[in-house]
Amino acid sequence: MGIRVENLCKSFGTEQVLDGITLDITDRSFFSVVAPTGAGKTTLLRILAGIESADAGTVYYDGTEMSDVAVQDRSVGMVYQEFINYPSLTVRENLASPLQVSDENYSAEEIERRVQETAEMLKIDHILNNLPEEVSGGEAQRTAISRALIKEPDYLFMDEPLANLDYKLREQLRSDFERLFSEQDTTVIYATPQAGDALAMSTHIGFLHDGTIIQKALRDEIYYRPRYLPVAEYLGEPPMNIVPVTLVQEPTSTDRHFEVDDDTRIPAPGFDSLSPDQEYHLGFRPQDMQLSDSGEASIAPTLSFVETVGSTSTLHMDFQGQEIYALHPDPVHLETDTSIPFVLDPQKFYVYDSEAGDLIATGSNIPSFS
Amino acid sequence: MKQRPWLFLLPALLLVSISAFIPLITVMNYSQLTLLPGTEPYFSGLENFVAILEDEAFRAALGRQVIFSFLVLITEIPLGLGLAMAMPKEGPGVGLSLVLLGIPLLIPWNVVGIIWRVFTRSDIGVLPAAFDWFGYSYEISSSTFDAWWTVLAMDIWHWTPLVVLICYAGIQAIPEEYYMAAKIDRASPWKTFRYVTLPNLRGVLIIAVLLRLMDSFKIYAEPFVLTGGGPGSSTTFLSTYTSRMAIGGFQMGRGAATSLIYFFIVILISFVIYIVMLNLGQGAGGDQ
Repeated sequence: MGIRVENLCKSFGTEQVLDGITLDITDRSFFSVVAPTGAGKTTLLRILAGIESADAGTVYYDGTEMSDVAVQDRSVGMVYQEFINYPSLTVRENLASPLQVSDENYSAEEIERRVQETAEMLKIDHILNNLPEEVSGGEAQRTAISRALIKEPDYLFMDEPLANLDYKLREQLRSDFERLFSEQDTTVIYATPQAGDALAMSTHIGFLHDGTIIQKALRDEIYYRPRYLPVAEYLGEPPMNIVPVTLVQEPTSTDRHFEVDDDTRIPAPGFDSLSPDQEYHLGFRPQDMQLSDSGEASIAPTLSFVETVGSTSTLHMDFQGQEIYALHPDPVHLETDTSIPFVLDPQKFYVYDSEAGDLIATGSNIPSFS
Repeated sequence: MKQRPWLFLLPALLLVSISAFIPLITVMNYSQLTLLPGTEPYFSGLENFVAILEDEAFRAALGRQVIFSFLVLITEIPLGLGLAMAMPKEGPGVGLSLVLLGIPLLIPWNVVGIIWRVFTRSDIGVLPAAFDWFGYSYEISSSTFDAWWTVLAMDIWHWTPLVVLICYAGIQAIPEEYYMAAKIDRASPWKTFRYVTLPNLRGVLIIAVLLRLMDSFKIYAEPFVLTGGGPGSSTTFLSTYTSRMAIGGFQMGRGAATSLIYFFIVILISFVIYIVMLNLGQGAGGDQ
């Protein structure tokens, strides 16, 4: 069931955009493809939907090979970043159009019923008689989504549908999507560069990097156990802090610490499996950094500026030329350009191999999935 | 400080006054005078207007003008749109077709007239010789029909490229996603054209139609050089009639009145077409 992709490759000119993607998308899941802009998300979606053809590789829907099936013969819907509706038709006519041209010969009553139902579901029933240009951006995108949903497709592809909306509408549509698609039988494949969007709505997330999906897992699993550095550095708002360290064994005791330089030594209890005198990348999340009251600190980066949204403060800091973030649940008043002492919780550490970049150890408080 | 906006507007106002307002007001003034060479001008009120509106030759020229512009629009707009849609969207073909299309637009009006004049001459012209070969006797200087369609063909050859360029720019600006969405909806090529291409080109088409309408309504140099308004007065359009009246016939006052009437007709027709096109296919497009 669902979509299966085997060894998908696609290049444009000399640029290899997709390089051997193998992927299973669970039936009825909400699967997000996350990657920075330009990584090939749109290309992947277009190939999966059948709008574009791959250079190599196979796509299966429900176990059936789809290479020779044109997009109009598949049970798919598509929503784009731009709000794509027929400009000269009203919202009602736009919603009805996919049914009217369908092979299935829906009766007028059936079409009207479905239009009403879908419009109510997406909260656009009050603008049915307006033209797309007369409604707001959020409503235009809801119309486009309704158009894609009204045929009840097995697979719905959405390519950054929230990108052109302002912050408030994004938030609103985010929560609407989550509610909407948990009740639907549709499998959603959603491309976004926004880690926050993916983490808010998805059941599964795949991270696209260098032309392959380097990790695909349940939402919580990929968030709590990002297997590779690029995933860790991207998934999270703000993303995980990564600092290059060396593991040092104290000569006089059994204690160990991660050493950044002579001034910064971060205690490392519980990482007995790691070999000392090796270089690692140490990861810790911004919300796991505690402002130190005693003056004793694991790490003391220099504060660049504080960004306060509501009651939560994001501290933007510089640590040896690297950007470090810390989240603080209350508004803070700290002087910029001073060192801010933080205590770190080793039970929430991530340790990555400094060469290969894969996760080799975590603190005992990081949930494990198997 | 209150005067400051006017300071910035002044250069534009001066330019527009010299190039448009002052000449227009002068023409309005002339139109109510009887201006004959060698005599003192005197005020004659609306006499000029009445005389023109009663003039058979004016009505005939206006009729020809309306028919001509109508024929120009119904051929050049669909033809231009069709060519624009057939043009390559990318690759080396784009540059080549744009250059080919640009050539007629680069040629001055009277030169176009001369080219076609040579082209249609009964002694050395290619066109009469070619028709002769098919057994048709082509006579631009004596056949009204031949003169008419030749003037029309000349205008289509000269100005369709402009419509193509405008439409091509408009088509290139339609996001590809519209066509993908129509494809997923299983829309036929005709419906894709009707509900995606056409509505997205509405603004562009309004500009093309208005430009071609106004330009064709003002056509002067090409038919003047090609047919001189003949045979008889069969290709005498409004501009030819006006200039004959004012310059050839030395009736400046009457010429000025004709210009004004001409001016209002162009504005009126343009306005009506603009309003009609603006509301076309809006909201009522339920004929799926």
